[in-house]
Amino acid sequence: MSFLKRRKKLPANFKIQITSMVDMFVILLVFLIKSYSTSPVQINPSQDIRLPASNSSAGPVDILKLIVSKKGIFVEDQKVVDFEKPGILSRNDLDSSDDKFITALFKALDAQAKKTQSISKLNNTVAFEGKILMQADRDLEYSILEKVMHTSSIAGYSEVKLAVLSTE
Amino acid sequence: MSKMKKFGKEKESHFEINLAPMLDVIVAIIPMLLMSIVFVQVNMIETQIPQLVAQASENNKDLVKVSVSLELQDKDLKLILNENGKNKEIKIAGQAAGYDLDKLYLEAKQIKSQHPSVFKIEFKPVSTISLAKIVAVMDKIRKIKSEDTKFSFKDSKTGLTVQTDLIFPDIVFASGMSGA
Repeated sequence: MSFLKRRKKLPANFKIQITSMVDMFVILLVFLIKSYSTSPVQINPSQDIRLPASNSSAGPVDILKLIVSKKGIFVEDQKVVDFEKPGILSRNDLDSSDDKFITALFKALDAQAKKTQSISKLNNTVAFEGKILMQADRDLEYSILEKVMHTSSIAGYSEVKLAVLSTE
Repeated sequence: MSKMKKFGKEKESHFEINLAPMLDVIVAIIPMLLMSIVFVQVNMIETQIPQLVAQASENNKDLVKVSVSLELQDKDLKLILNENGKNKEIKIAGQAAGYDLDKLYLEAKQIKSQHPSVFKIEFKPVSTISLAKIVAVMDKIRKIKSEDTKFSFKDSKTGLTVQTDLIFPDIVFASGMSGA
């Protein structure tokens, strides 16, 4: 008890120096505000895909997303085709009469097109535009992309946009 | 004098800003920004032509009997200008590092200066070429550099002179992919 009494007598004049901490936070804040995106549509490329770099400044739009990685083809994050080897399609995935037609991809895209068309009948604000945003790996050969584009156009998606990494 | 000295000593200021509320605000904002931050900015390659240029380009479409195509071979590039059915081929030999994109830019600019109302180019890549190379070529022929002079052409319907810094933004793949 006597010890406590003695402690009370000690003057408490302790202050944390926060000026340098505020300086640090302000720098961090400026950096974060600079990197803050106001675009309504955000695309997060998956880890196994390396997008090509481009100086294009056009922001992405909210359309059907098609991903072509080295592992396979995805429609709206759903895997539809598995590659036999990285970036190589299996012969079984292609149509016997048309070697550029990927059957499973067509089915998935056709289902998406029908879904959008049925929604557009009930909702005037939704319209089927036949646009697709393709996120393709930068190292993929044109032969595979050509097959994907060919199949997409048959499914009604004739306007293919390429997702790229901004270099600006 | 002695009075002044006394006065000064008594009113010695010990001024300090209270940074604690400021720190509170910053600490509240930072987590919000961290959650909405975009470290990788993904864009889209598209052929958005400014309204006035797009309209003039559309009006002149019927008059234009010129088409431009680009063959992307394994090492070289071949620019083909079709004017009234006659083909003019410009071969751009590749370099050790890849395509000679600077020469392609100059040749594309030359064609564009002769036919400023042509915006479309047809790409014919070989099957082995990578997407990264195709995008690099697209970037080179989309727009002129800021220091270069703009192209101007006359809108056949309105008679207005339209200026543009676009070379060939409207890219169509031979297989059917439009606008890239």
